[in-house]
Amino acid sequence: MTHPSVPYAGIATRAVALAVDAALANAIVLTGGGVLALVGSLVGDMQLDTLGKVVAAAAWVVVVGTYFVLFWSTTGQTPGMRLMHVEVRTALGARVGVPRAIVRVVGLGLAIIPLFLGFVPVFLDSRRRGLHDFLAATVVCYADLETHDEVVAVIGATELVPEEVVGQAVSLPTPRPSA
Amino acid sequence: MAIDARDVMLGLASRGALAGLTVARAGMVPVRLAARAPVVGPRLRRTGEGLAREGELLREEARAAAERLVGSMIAAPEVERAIDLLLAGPLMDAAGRSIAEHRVVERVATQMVLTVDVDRLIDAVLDHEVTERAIEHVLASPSLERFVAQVVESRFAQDVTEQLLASPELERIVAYIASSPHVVEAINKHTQSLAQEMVSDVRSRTQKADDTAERVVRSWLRRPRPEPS
Repeated sequence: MTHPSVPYAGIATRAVALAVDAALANAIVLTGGGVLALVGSLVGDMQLDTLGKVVAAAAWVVVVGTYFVLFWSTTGQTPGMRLMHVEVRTALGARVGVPRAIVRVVGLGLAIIPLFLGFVPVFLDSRRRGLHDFLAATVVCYADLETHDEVVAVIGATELVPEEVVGQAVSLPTPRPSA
Repeated sequence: MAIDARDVMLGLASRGALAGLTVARAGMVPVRLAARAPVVGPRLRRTGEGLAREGELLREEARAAAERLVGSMIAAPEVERAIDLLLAGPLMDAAGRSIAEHRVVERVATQMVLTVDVDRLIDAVLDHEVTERAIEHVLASPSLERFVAQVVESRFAQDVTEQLLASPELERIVAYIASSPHVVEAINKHTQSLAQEMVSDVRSRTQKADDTAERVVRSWLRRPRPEPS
């Protein structure tokens, strides 16, 4: 298999994957909300007050956040990332654990809120990391790297990644200084 | 029963002929005995052989003359006119009706099928090189091409096609083919491969876009891309 010139996913690939994931996550939220609204309409007139809107927004955040955390921490790929053949790994090449995934999803929110300015470092960083990657010490690399040797050779963390930790969730390591 | 004079005459002629034959045979008895005699016998046999040769020559000449006669009769315009009259006349119609009435063709065909090994006959005909050459000749013939083109363009072909398309049998066949596991599997495979091709294409395009976008932004900031650490 031919690898791309850089083993880390760039802005376009990540944008497509994020768009697909956003669509799927919102579809889940809308479907759940629609079912709840249907059930509520059977009971009586349903008008959301301020508290209700806050709860609905919180539910949206929780569902979307859970979507990302669940996929990152289990397979390392959301459906959108799977479609684009990219995956999240720690800076050391290991799989992402739940705590790191939570940190990353918070960082993702922070990167999106200021008009996606948090993604600007992807253009400048040698490992194409965004704000959320810096915060969680993760990288987004192409998932075509299937073997441990490939991962280590491409990500360049030979001396730091024991073979047995690849494919496992690990605790937060000390992030490597960016280039 | 009344006696017919012509029958009596025929009976008398028959009796007379038989009597003549008997007398002739009786007359030949002394000749046969003489032929076996020691002195006269060889001369008689030679004489008989000479007579036999003359008779044989005469028979051959008579046969040739008969053949010439028959040939001249067949070639005669009278015979031609006679045959023409025969074919144009009511006799042929009557013969045709009779053949149909008595099912002559069916009976002959049945007897042929029963007595002849039809499969072997068909195989022999099909395997014969003359048949093969004839088929090749027909297939290579431009006349056949024109004929097929005329058939295809004809109203008959259109009608047949319309009848076929409107027939419930065709619907049943199409439904059967459409629900065939092989067809469904082939369509699924084709669809999957098409989707995979599309996704792969999108993936390669986005990877190129990654590099392009990064190169453009870095060129604005005059920062070349460092090697990954």
